[in-house]
Formats: sequence, structure tokens, C-alpha cells
Amino acid sequence: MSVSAASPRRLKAQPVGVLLPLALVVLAILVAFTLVPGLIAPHNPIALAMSDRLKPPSLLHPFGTDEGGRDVFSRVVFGARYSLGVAIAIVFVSALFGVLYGALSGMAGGRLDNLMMRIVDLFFGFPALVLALAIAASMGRGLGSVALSLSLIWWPGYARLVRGEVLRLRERPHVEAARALGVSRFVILLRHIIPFVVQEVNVRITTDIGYALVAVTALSFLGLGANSPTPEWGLLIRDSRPYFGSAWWYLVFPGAMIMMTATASSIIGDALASRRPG
Amino acid sequence: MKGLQRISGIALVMLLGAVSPALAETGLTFVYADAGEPSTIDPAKANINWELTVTRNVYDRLVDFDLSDPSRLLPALATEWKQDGKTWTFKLRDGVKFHNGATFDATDVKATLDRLLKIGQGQSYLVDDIESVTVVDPLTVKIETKAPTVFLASNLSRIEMLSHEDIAKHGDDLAQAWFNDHANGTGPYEFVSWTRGAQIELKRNDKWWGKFPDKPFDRVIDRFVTDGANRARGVEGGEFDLANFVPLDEALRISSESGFHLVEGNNLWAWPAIYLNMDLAPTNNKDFRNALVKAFDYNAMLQSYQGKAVTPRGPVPSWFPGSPEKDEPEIKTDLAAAKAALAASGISNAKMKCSVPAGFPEFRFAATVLQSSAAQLGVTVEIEELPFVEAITTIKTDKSNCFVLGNANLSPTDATKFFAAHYLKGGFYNSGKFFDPTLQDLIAKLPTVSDPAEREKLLKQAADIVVNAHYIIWTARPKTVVPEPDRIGGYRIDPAEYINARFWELHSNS
Amino acid sequence: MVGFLLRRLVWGLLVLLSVAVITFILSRVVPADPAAFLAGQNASEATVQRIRVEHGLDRPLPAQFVSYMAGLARGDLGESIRTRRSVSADLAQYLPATLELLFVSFVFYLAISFFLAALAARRPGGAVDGVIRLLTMVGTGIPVFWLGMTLQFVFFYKLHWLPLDARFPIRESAPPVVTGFLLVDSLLAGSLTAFFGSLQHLALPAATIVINLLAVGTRLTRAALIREQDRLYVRTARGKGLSPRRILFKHMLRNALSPILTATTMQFGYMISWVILVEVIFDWPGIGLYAYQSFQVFDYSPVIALALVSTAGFVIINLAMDLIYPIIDPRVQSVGA
Repeated sequence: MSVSAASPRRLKAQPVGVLLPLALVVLAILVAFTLVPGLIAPHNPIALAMSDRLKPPSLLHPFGTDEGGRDVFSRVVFGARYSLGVAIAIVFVSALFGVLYGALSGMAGGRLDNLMMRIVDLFFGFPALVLALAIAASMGRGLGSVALSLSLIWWPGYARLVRGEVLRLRERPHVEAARALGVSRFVILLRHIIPFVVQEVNVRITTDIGYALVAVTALSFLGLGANSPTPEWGLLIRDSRPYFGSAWWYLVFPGAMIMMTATASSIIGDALASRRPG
Repeated sequence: MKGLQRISGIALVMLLGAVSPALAETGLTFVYADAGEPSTIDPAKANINWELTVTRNVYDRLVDFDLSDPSRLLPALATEWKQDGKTWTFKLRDGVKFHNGATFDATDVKATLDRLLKIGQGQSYLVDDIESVTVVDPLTVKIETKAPTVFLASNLSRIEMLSHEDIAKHGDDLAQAWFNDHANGTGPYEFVSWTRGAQIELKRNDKWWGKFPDKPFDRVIDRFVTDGANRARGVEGGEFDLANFVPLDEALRISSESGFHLVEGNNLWAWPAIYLNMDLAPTNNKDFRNALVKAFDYNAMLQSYQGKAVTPRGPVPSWFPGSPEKDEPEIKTDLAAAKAALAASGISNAKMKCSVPAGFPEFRFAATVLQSSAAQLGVTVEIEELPFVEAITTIKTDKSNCFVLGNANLSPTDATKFFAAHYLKGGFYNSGKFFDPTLQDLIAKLPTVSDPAEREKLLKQAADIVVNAHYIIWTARPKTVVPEPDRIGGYRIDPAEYINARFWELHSNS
Repeated sequence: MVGFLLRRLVWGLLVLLSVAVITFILSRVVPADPAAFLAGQNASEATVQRIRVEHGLDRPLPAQFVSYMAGLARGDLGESIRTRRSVSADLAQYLPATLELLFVSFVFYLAISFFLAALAARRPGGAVDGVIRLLTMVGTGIPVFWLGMTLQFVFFYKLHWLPLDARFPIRESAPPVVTGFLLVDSLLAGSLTAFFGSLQHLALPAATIVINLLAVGTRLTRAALIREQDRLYVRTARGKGLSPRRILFKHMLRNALSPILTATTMQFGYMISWVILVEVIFDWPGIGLYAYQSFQVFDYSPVIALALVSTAGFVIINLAMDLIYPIIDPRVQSVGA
């Protein structure tokens, strides 16, 4: 669940300024992991290599190996497309739906707007994890059901955000003027309102990706998400538990990866926020 | 924290000693970390480790057996027994009392067995060949079986004895509601309380007919710790005295630390076995199954068990009384033969799904090994990890081709019950729906045969049928390895159990 | 006012009802069979069928639904197949554990969050502010389950300062249950050792929750405080010579409270849902662990109960916030949407 931080112009972007390049580097790395894992990962993430079982980090295996002798670093690299990929998909789908919904609601106004927002309230109150459990129970486990349940949880945030913005922008002088001139509501929405809304939404999307990633990995950790041997990060952490005392690297590195990704998304989101006008 | 506990423990003992010199209590507490919370502590329904932990220690059974030689039965609540065709006669121990003071006698045996067979759950399958139970006199019981079976006494070593009074007076439903969370047994430990979500507390029954070691534990706390890593770390850090199912790597590492030692033993028949679905393509093809059996990387399993396992040759382990294992051919990876078998099957580009019960890293690993072994044949294996009942239902309803499960046999000498559950029609664990009429007959006949050599031959025939059908991939047979702190002594592995603790054998070493 | 309350109450009930319906439907449209679990392993097919009938699991879905809803109306949450007790009885036992954990976590979270935010807001853009902002940013990304395990590793395993899991020291006897809140019950029983024992066991799970919430919360609180600092009235007060602390607590807090409370409400709602993760890692016998273990064996009444409790909690807190806002911030006149 995310709440974007409002930053008045007075706030200097100092710490963010220092970290932003780092975050962008992380972003670049992640993009590489997602798009061309085969080029980056030094070893096969799935093939068993028992003689290398549970080896600590070394030059050959920077993140060590797991119980099947597989290189943890390679698994993390290949896992990016599952963990991060699903997170991004969730955020984009919910944003898309939420934005449309919120925009329509805001433009419609009156009773319809009220009703639509009540429905949003309903979704807001629904406990995320329980919904995930219930959907996993009926649809079966897997990244698909995780994506579905998390999307259902995420879209209300965007709906509310956009509706709020639309309501605010509707009252602006230039919009009122356009209305007075007889411009259709739809065109107003498209040309005068959406561009401003998009900026807000972008900030939120960026930070939300980090939150969504954590949520996806949490559900995999509970056993609701990906299945072996998919190197999804949350699943890696779950698989690492029986060996933790003997192989700390198996738990630490995937977790650090999640943390780094989420923090980077947070920093970039913050940077976007401080850049937007008023 | 540990130091503080020890000091307060000693203080308590001294205080008790000063206040009541007659008390023979040690004041020692034992904390056991079990892998789950019981759903019921009714001995007629208990069948998972953590339920048996409670029932085995709170109740007694008619017969016991020597852990190091399971074919040697020992007296418990029964002192003598003999078989005469379909009739078994048991003479009972005199002077045994339940925890609430009631006397134990033959009426309790009859009431317990009648109830167990009526309810039909738990370990009732071990004694479902009982036809009727008759009370001859307060210390003599006669049991009639449907067909003669040499194994009845041995199987009764797993059936806990309840009080007929409890059964009668706690509700019309055979007191099922009451026994779910109450316990009144004759056993070495008495049920004290059950804090849901946390633990069950037991206290020592110093009026028990059996013998406690020196410095036994007066108080036992059975904690529910679902995660293996937590159990391991708790034992290592001293929070738990002993734990069930400690992951192997952790167990080996912890036992090599100072203050700990390793307890090893045999009890697992396969850990795990992979059951192939005989009714669903492509595993319904015998050659295909053969290909999988031959392609499986048994070495990978051995390596993951770090020298503590062997590759099975059949369903019955070599240490089991009357086992045919030594005469079975060795099973090993043979990729060439596997490819030949695959070619013979006429199946190509096969896809199959495997359902794996969650919570056991070894099961998941075995499925992963199957996946990579099958990949060498061009066969794609998809793995789905599910809670146990869901996993087994998935294969039984033909939504998956294989099921992974660890095996143990709860009977010290009877292999037929194991075969019935796993390889006969309708057996609960016969998840792949194997059926062979010859096997059905063999298993029905075996218990009626009185000559041990003849039984061994029949058992070999039975094992051969299962092996040759390629129904099962026996991935590994590991020893059970438990780290025991040096301050605790007496823990032994029970060869007819899934890893449990006989609290009445444990003692403090400090 | 009354009208408003009534409307919110009705709405809250509607939400609860929808949650119940949705969760019920989802949980029944399931391929596997609770009767199999209940009958236990080794039971014959006949036994399983008998048990299925006994528990009404063979009835058609609509019939089950109607009887469940009717039960809900009576306050009967059904029976847990796994524990073989009524869900209400189970809840009475498991819920206090979760509430105690959440409550203690929240108290610490509010205090620390406010303290850090005030510290940061003092001089926005300064060194302290920078460090705090960095920490909150990093903290946002830490997965709560990973954090829990790491804390266990460091504080129990390596340092032996804190216990591994559970609510109460294992070898000691817990105080008699009065409220279900161990801290309260310890004090009621007059046992300081029990009190401190419970506190010790609360430390790691609560720390996990607090750290996780701090990241987001501190940022929001800081932003709110900074915004307030900008206001004319603060500069006036400073000009008048009032001490910064006085300004902070007497004036700014009241005004900043509103957005802080909004954020806290959302955090609480978020936490009720995700507390399962913390409970699973620390074997904390709360409603999250209860529902999760039941879910694993297709025992869905507890899962529905968890859904209802979380939603109810969320609704109640929202309602409370709506009532408190006008009191705190008189500028907020009417509340609604």
C-alpha cells in the first residue's frame, strides 16, 4: 500500500540528489536482469550441480550456491523477470484501470461519482492478504493468482488519486473557460486534465512498483505464488529457510535484492515527485 | 537467560526439597519442539507425528517392542499373549491405574478397540482385521480376527488404551468431542493443559507401572513450531531441548558443535518416494514409467543427504524384520536404458505435473531432481507445491501425474499394512491408484502364514510386483539424524514411527 | 452528527457483508475437500463420506451459503474443521495475541515516528534530516518477512539477547487468562517477571512491525510537520520568542495530526492484513497464524473470520478517525467522502 509523500517546493532534494544516480544505476541493472538474464548470469539457474552444494560466496559464485549447487546470483538474475515483472504488471494494470475509473468518476460527478467512490471504498477495506489467500484457494496457486489478487487491491488507490485530481482540476479557470465555450467534457478531460494527472500517477506508479514487488515476494514466501524451480525472489527466501544456519547467503542476498529494488523505486519516485510543479 | 533459568530451577528444587522432603520430583522441565499443532489428541484419530507425540506418551499400549530389534515384542499393558488360529488371547497387567485413579482392566481393552473400529480413523487400519473382542475375565481378553494373522500383537503395539468409563460417560458420540482435547491414560505422562497455538503441557506420572530412568523430566512442554529453521535454531540456542524434523544440514551442523551430539537411527522407508499416476497419461504407460525410474539421478539425492542415505532397492528397508531387500537388484541411474524405455513407450515431448506436499524441503528437492532428470529425456515436469491433503487429492483426481511422499511404517513387524495403504486398491496413500490382483492376494495371504521363511518369500514376491511395475521411484532411504544436547540423554529413534520422542526414556545429564 | 454516524455504520456493515460473501464464495469454489482432512490420513472412503455428510459439506453451495449467513447474523462464525471448536472460541483466544502485538507496535511506532520526524523537520535539508530520509527510504524497501528472520538471526542466534519466538518464556507458567493480553494479565496477577517476560517476547515481532511501518510513516509525518513549519502562525510564534519545543507540541502537532492520523489509519489497515507474515515467522499464536494454518487444510471459516475481523477493524478505525478529525482540527468541518 503506498502513500506518496507530498513535497513542497521548499524541500531541498539533497539526499535524494546523492542517491538518485545510484537508484538509476540499480534500475539499469534490473532492466538488464529482466531483459537479458542469459547474458548476465554466469551459470545455469536451474541445472543441478550437487558437488557445489551450499557453497559460501566466492569469486565463482558471488552469492554462493543453494541446496542443488545452483548459483544463487544466477537465480537472482533470472528471478528478476518473475518478481519484478509481475510487480510491474500489477502496477500498470491497476494504474490503467484505476486511472480510467477515477477519471470517469470525477468527470461524471454527482450521484454516479458518489456510487463509484463507494465501490472504491469497498475495495479499500478488503484485507489484501486474505483476498490473496481466497483467490489462491479457488484459482490455484501461482504468479497468476498473485497478480490478480494484488491488482484487485491496488487499483482503488489510483482511482481515488485520479478522481481527487480531476475534481481539483475541474475547478481551474481554464477548464471552466473551456466549458463555458462549449468544449465537450471528453475533450476537456483529454486535453486539460489528463496531462496533469499523469504526472501524479507516474510518481505513484514508480513508488508502487517497489511496494508491489515486496507484496509479490511476500505471497510467494507464504507459498501462494511461484512454484519451484522458478527463481522468484520470494520463493528463494522461502526455500532458503531450512538451510539458514548453514547457508546465510541463500537468505540474505535475495532479500537484499528485493530491498535494493524497492528502495530504488522509492528514490526515483521521490525524485519525480520533487520535480513536478506545485 | 539460560543461566538465570538454571539458577531459578535449582532454587525451585531446593525450595521444594525444604518444604516437602517426601517429594521425589526432580523439578526438571523438558521442552520439545514439534512440527505442528495437533488437530485432535484422540488416539482413535491421531495419525500425524505431532498428534502421536501426545498420545504415545499419555497412553499405554498392550504391547511394546525392542527398539533395536523390533521383532522382539515386550510386555506393556499385556504381560502374555498367544495366537491360536483366529483367536488371540492376551493376559493383562495387574494393578494399573488411569491418571484419574480408575483401574485398568479387560473392559477397557474391549471398549477401546470397539470404539476404534467403529470410528475407523487414525491407526485403526493397523487392526482392522479384528472381528470381535471378548472379555474373559478382568485380566484376560480374547480377540477374534477375520482371518488368522501373526501380526496382531505387534500391531497392537501402536494402539493406545482408553478407559471404558471415559468412553461411556462423556457424550453419546463415543465421547469423540471429549477425547479431542482431553486425555486420561495409564501412561508415563499426564495431560495437563493445551494452550492453543502454543503448546501442550504434560506432567510425569510417578505412579506409572513402568520404569523411569534416573533424573527423568517432571514436566514436558510440547511446543508447536511449524518452521524447521526455527526448530533448528531453537535447539541450537538452547530454547528447545529437542526438536522433531530438524533439517538435515542444520542437524549435522549443530551436532558437530560442542554441547551437542548426534543420534542416528533407522525408521524411514523412503524419504521420499515418488508415486506415478497409473491412470493418467503419460505415466499410465509402463515403459514411460520405467524410463523415469532409470533416468532419475539417485546420486544427487545421496549427495544431498551427505552420506546418511542409501538408494532403496524396493519398498521394504533392509533393517525391517523379514525384509527381501538384500535379494533385490540394485537400482541406479542408467540413462541409456532410460532412453531405450522411452523409445519403447512411443511417447515423445511428454509433459507431466507433480504435486508435492509443502513443508518438507527433501520432497521439493526430490521433485526438482526428477525435473532435471526427466529433462534429459526431453520430458517436462512441472512442480506444484501444495498443502498435504490438497497435494494428494490433486493426484487422486487425476490432475497430476506424480505425488511425492515420505514413507514410514508404524508397525514394527507387519509390512502388509504398509502395502495395503500404499499399493493395494483403496489404500489411502495409494495415490497413483496402483492395482495388481496377484499383489492383493499375496498381501491377504501373508499374515495367515505361520512360517517366517515362507512369509519372507511372499514378501519378496510382493515387493517384486511393485518394483517391476515401476509404480514408484524410491529416491532415497536416509537415516534419521537428530541433534541431542549433551545435557539430555536417552533419546532413541523408533524404527516404527515417523520420528517421535519417548519422553519416558529421556533424562537429564546435568 | 447522528445521521452521519448512522450512515457510516450502515456502510461499514455493508462492507463487512460484501467481504463475507466474497470470501465465502471464493473459499467454497475449491477443488479439494475439507472432509478428507477431517477424516485424517488412512481413513477409508466410506469414513470420509460419512464425515462429509456429518459436517454438511455435501450440501449444495447455496444451501451452505444461506446457513453460513444465517449463522453470521446470529454472531456464529461457524466451526473450525482443524481445531474442532467454534471459530468464535478460537478467535477469543487468538485475537488478543494479535491485538496486543499490534497495539504495542503502534504505540512505539507513533512515538518513534513522531520523534524522528520532528528531528528531521527541525532543519529540512540538513544532515540529520538527510540521514533520517535515507533510513526511511531504505526501510521502505525491506520485506517484512525478511526483516523478521534477520532480526531473529542477529538478536537470538548470534547475540542471545532476545528469545526466538512465542509469546511467553517457555519454561515458565503464563499468568491466568483474564483479558488475553499477557502484559495486562501479568500485571493483574501481580507478577513483574511475567510482565517482563512477555515484553521480551514482544520485542522482536514488534520491532519488525515498527521498523516496517516507520519508513513510510516517518516520511509522511515529516512532510506534514515541514508543511506546518512553513505556516505563518509558526513563524509568528517563533518571532514571539516561544521555544521550538513548545511550538512543536502545542501548535504544530495539533495541525499536523490530521494527515498523520490519515496515514496511521492506512498503516493500521495495512498491518492487520500483513500481520500474518510476522506471526508465521515468530510462531506468534494470533489470528493471522490461525487463519493461515487453517487455510492450509481447507478450513476456511477461520479465513473468512480473519477477513471479517480485519475489515471490521479497518472500518472502526476509519470511523474513529472521522469522529476525531473535527475535534483535532476545527478547520475540518463536515466529514464525509
